[in-house]
Amino acid sequence: MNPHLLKSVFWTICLASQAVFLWPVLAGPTLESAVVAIVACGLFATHWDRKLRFSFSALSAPLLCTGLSISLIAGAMGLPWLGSWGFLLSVTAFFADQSDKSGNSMLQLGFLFAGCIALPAILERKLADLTTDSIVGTSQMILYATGTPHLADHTEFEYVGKTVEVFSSPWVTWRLSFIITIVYSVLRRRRWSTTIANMASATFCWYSFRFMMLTCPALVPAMPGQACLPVCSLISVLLFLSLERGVRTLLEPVPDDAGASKYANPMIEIWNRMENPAVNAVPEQPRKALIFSLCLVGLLIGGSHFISGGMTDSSPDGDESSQAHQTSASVEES
Amino acid sequence: MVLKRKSRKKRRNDKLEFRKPSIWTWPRRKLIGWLRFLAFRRRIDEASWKIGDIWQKVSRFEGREYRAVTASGQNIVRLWPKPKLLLNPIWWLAWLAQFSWRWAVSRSFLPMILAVPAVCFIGSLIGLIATGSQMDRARRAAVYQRLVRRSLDRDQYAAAALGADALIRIYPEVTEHRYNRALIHANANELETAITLMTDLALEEDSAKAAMWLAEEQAGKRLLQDIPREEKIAIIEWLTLAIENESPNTKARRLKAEFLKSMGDVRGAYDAITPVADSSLNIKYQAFQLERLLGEDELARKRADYLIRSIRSLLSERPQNAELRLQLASILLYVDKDPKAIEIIETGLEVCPPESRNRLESSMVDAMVVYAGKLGKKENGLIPSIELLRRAMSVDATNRSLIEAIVKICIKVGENENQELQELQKSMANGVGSSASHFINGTIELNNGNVAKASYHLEIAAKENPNLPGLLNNLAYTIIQQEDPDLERALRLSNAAIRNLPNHPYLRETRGQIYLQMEKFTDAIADLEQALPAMELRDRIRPALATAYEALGDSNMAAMQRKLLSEGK
Repeated sequence: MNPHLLKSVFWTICLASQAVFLWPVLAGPTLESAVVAIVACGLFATHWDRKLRFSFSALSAPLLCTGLSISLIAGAMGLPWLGSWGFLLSVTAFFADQSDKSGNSMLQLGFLFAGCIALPAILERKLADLTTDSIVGTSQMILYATGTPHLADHTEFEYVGKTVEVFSSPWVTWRLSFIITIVYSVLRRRRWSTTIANMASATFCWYSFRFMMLTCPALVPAMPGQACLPVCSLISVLLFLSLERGVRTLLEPVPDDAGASKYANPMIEIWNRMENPAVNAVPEQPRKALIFSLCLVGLLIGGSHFISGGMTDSSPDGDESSQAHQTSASVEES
Repeated sequence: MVLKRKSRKKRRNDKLEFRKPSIWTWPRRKLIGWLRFLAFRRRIDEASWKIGDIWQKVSRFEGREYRAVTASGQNIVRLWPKPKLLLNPIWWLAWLAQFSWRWAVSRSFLPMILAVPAVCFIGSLIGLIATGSQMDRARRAAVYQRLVRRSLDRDQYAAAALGADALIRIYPEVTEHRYNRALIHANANELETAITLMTDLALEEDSAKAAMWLAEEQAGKRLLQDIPREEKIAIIEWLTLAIENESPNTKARRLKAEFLKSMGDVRGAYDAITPVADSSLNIKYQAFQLERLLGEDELARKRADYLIRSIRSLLSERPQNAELRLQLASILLYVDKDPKAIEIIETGLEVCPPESRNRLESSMVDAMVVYAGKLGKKENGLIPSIELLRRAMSVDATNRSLIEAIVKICIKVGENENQELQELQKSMANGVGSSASHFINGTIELNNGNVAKASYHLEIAAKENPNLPGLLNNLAYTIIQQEDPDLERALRLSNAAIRNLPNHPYLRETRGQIYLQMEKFTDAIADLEQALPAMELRDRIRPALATAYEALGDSNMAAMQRKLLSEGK
């Protein structure tokens, strides 16, 4: 049998069966998620070297197995939100496997789908409240420090002759910044560690954008109201680019010169491997990775059964979960 | 080979070994075996063997080659450390130090220039947040207090409101800020909101200032006589609340005393002001006036002596102060030093600013009228009295009390046959104008019983001077003396007179008589009772009261009134 065909069938069944979890938990309108999927496919198409792989490496194997296990558990317990995260891990494993060894990493394309997954409503509300509290608090501290008179609550900031509303649902702009950051990182061929640092930087820039929008009308009274949005956006983008430059410099590899000792420094070795796995690639050991992954799957399934008890019978999405269960089982057999 | 026989002991052991085992031997030995297998020592033994295996596996890495990168970017071959080095914490520290040093020196600093804006941004942000979080309530409040002051100076009420709101948030327990917020609302013409806030403060937070503000707001800039009785009661309630919530609250007590006095409750006014009567000169003067009204002459005179001394010393420092002059003149009149009082006011006309001239003139005429009244009661005092009134006419001939005094004195002179007096009276009557002249003639005719002539003169005078209470009263009295009197018109005239002089006993007596004729006995009793302090009228009041009580079926009260009349009380 053609090995390429086998790999194609495996990845298609694996990802398609888990994608069903994604549908009920899409954040925002479907069009937005479709755009994300198209962008991901486009980036993959332009960065892929047209060689379908199933290397089951030290990185992809745990990701895939954990993803499948989570999907199984989610199917059994009727938790589509958990299943969507399983799908996310499997997609990440797929993209990690397709990366070549010349530094062309596509691992972070998998992160792109995280921007489409909505958090549970309660958690999202709590996080939104926490973020709003934090932004309002920071803005107030800045205004106090600059001696700017203001009257603030969780809905609006009142200045002398001006009122600025506090944006109550912050996740839309945050998701946008998150997706843009990943697309940027893929286009610029950043490593996954740099991508993660960029995501943190983007979150900080988004946070800065939020409090700049709140404080700008008071701190720069001469600025017209309509100019606030473009100016703050521009500052946030420049801040992100500046931060990215700093992050890249800080994450550069550390040269391992031969010194007094003939032995290597393991910390330098780990650091360099994290930033640039192509430099010191470990030979792949598919047999060991498979055994390790199967153990992990068994452990997760056993743990979930132990935790869930008799919950599977009362799960509302019983059909869907059984379908996912069967799909995962067939993957294991293959 | 010589076979040696085994010892006895060995032979016995051999016998034992070949002995047939008992039925319990096998399970016992199995049990012991399992116990040994599960024993702690055995498990430790097994674990140690496993660790040994792992150690052997790790040891295989020793000396293993791998590719590394040099500072110049070239790949080199390095050796993996020995296991004994990997497990040595001293080596961990050494590696950490080496890593940190190499990480620090291997950063390319030139591209880091582009990261400087981000570093500056983060640094300034941290600095601002740290500074902001260290600002305590007092420092935050200072910002807003400055804003409120500056904005109020510039009439920027929106900014002031923002500052006041922020102060309320910083100090929610301080009512002063809420009071200021309400004041800003009031200044910004949002009176309803201000009143609501002040009412909340006064009733729920026991704020004396808010209660005081509400009283002043309700009173407005109206004169006391222009405020309706119901509003006065409401104002007095607010003032009472202000006094209860803040002691001694001199201002509230003064205002309350004034309102109570205007409503005729002189005793209540005096009680309100007594606790603070010695706090300032103005309040002492107010207390003195109330004591006069209450007939507490001893107290009033004692206070008058002190007031005269104090005001004189003050007046020597501020001779242009018209208010002080008028107060001193009033006190001097009370202690029968009328010429001194007139002199004080006359001096004031020369030294005081022109805007106080009208008040001084009016007060001077009043003082002269009072003095003339006192002179007129003395023997041979009519001529100096008329002279004084003529002098008063030269100051202000239109003064109401002066005209009434002239009328009174003319009536008195009309009863006298002295030629000199008659001449003086004529010249004086000619000097007061036609209206006053008709008033005088009409009153004389009324006293002589010529109702028709009195009516003719008084009607003319009333048309020319419709606000003179004495004239209106006399006209009303003339109307009820007529046959088939127009009682409704008489009541209207009497009401108009009482509106100008609310507590005058003569006016009350006239209206009481009108009510009696209209058979409104309850109203009649109310007015006649109020007129009783005028002793000279009691001969007319008592029979009227007896009639009214009798008509209402209260024969006891009617009998009592008749008895009092017969006793001359």
